[in-house]
Amino acid sequence: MENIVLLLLPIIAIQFLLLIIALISCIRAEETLGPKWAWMVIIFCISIIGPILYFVIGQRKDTYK
Amino acid sequence: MKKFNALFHKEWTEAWREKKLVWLPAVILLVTLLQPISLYFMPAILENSNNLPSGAVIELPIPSGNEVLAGTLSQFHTIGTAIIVLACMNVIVQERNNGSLMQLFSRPVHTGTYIFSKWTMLVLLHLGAFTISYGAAWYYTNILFSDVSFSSVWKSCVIYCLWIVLIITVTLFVGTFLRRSGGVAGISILIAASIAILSNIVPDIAIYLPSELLNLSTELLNKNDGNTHIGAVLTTTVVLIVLLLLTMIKQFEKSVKF
Repeated sequence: MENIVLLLLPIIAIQFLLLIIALISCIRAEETLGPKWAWMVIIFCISIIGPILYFVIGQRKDTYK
Repeated sequence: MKKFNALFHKEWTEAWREKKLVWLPAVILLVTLLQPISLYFMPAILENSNNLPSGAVIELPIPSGNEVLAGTLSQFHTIGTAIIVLACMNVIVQERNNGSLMQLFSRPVHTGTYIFSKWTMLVLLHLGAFTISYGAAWYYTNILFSDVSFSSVWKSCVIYCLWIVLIITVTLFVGTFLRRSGGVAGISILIAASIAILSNIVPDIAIYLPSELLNLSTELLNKNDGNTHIGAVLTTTVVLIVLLLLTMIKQFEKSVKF
């Protein structure tokens, strides 16, 4: 049993990292494509795919730096 | 060179700001790691699924480490290609649509420098992420299954990397033509799929097509000897990449002249 937890630990850690980074970047973003709360729900509820979706199509990057 | 460095640096800061620097390696790592782990737990998963009739006996042969790594590669081939296309589709389209391209090219910047800085950054990022993930999958395979020799692993890794470079180049190439990122993703995936279909329809030329790269790298894992038609695939892929880059620069030059 302990063996299984150790094996799965990296995967859970990466998934958690993705979730946290997507949430932080969503909260700090001035504007997202579509309502922000919807993106937070998507990031939180759909594991792995949710954060990717947010990063690929949710971010609004049309301000010129 | 100075301009290239400035643009190259800008690409990295932008990737950090979009958090692409974090999520892309994380996703690729997840895709590659899940294959050896799920194969390892497959008997337990089947045992615990309760829709089997009682008394059913399932005997699964334990796959060798080589087979597991080969499976990881083909798993990455389907999901990873889509992820790479998604990550690269916005690169040029976005800058064109928000007008920063116009600002950039009002200065004396050559289109080749611009394209090449983007291409180099994307290639480095993806290859780095893939190499790390493949190394991690190799480590897991060694622990959970049998040992795989390092010499065949790095050869298959290098050969597969060419496919990744090709996909990035194709996506950038389509990006210089179209103005919508959805279209870019669709057409790039269509091109990748049609290469695979073409190799099925016309088996005679299949050894020259880039889709053979996956077969080559899995073959390298299974038997450790050199393949005879390895040169043909490598040549066509490299030539294709260079041709795409050159046409892209030429075409882009036309489209940014106002």
